[in-house]
Amino acid sequence: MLAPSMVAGKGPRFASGKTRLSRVGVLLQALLLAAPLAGLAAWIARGGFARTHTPGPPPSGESVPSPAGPLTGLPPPLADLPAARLEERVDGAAEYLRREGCRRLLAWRFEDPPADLEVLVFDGPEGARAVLARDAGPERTAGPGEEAAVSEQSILFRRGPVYARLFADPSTVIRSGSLEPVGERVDRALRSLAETRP
Amino acid sequence: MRARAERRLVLKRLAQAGVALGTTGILAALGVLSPGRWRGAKKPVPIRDHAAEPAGSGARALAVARGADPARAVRAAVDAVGGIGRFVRPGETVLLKPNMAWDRTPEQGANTHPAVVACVAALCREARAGRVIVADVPVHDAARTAERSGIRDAALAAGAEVLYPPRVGFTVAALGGSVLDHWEILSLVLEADRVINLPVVKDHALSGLTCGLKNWYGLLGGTRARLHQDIHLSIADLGAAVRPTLTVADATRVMVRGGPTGGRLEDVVIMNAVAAGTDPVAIDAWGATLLHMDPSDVPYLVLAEGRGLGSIRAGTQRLEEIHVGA
Repeated sequence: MLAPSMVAGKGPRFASGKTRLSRVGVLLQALLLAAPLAGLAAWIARGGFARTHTPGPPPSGESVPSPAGPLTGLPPPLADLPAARLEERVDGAAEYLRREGCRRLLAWRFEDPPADLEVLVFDGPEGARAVLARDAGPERTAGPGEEAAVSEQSILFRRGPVYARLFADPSTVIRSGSLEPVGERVDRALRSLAETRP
Repeated sequence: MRARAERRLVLKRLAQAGVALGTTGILAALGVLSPGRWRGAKKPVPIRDHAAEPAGSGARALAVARGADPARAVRAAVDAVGGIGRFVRPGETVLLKPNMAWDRTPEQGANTHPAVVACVAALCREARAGRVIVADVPVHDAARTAERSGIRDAALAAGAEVLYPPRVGFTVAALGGSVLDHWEILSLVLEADRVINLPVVKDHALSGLTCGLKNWYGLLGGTRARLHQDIHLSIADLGAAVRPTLTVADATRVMVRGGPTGGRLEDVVIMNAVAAGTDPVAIDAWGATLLHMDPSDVPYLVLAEGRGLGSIRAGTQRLEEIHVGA
């Protein structure tokens, strides 16, 4: 036996074609209203706001170069990492450097002469001194900064709480003494960084 | 009347949409919707034991060869521990894991020497391996590191493939360690029939030295910072989880200071030595002696030996070295 409403063909459960159309319209309206909201929610859920302020590393693993700021005379660095991200550049040495008070690492690659530069900024001169001593041993030579260990292929030096290590590419024959001007240029750029308060 | 009903319906739909969005937002805030959560939620995959079968008579457990030609030294050392045929069978997929982490040249001794990698790849080819894959997770820019280390060209010339992320993926593996219970590891480790470890011996700021056991760090994805906070336990955990078929340690150029990154030629001592063996603890103990360290003072070696991964003594006892000439 059929229900009276069915027989009569009325009532909300058994809508006519016109009502069905209006229901589709309502659904479309709801979808149109919800779509931008859903997009916004997804964007926020995926860290949209966070990305605006804290850029993540690009796929290569190198950090996004930040403005060199006070490092006048040097190109933008290849990497500029805070203490928490030292692993991206030095991996296993990161924890050791943090223990010595390293709070920032910057890296450059020069083409003429081909050389790699790393600059480590410490909380104080003690940390920079300790890491230089570990890398270079006790012997010091004339060179840039307040103390240095210089050879034809490398220049390690400290200026205040900043420690720099500059390595010429050994696979490239470089003119004797061609690394020293680079070291001097780096030292000039680092003076302002060394004077910056932590 | 109808207008009121439609308005009610619109409001109802909007309320439903609001509830759906609200639920999504709450789930997102709780991190339930993050892809990483679901990747991590997958059941970690066990790593198979790649260790070689026990040696027959006449084969040494550890062999050291010295000579200016790294390839000759590698061949001599591998022959002395049973020959490549003991470790690689026709048709097998062999993963070679060098240290290819640093944007440094071979002279700087930060990575495994390309001649060592190439020679082991060639040996695997001679054993008619199906695939020979050289892979690592470099710290520095991967493509540049592969090129500048010399490993890419040398390995390709020897008939191997050279892979690194993002061209290879990771799988969450069960490591079962005290620090490392599970971690993302190069999927190739799980897929390969044989895994040959090709570390370089060098100084390390935190662990004292890096050789074979520490070289497994290069298999890991994710953020490694946590591992270094308990480095000795982490290394021992990894050593227990990843058992190599063979280890060929490169001590042709040994970075004795400034590791692991190095860079100064003054810190690199040319030793022209290669060790091959199946005991990863013995190999690392041998490496420690090259850095004038007492292996018994290296915590991760003591831990690894305590877990039955090998013998420190086997790497420090008087070894009859093979000299392969100039």
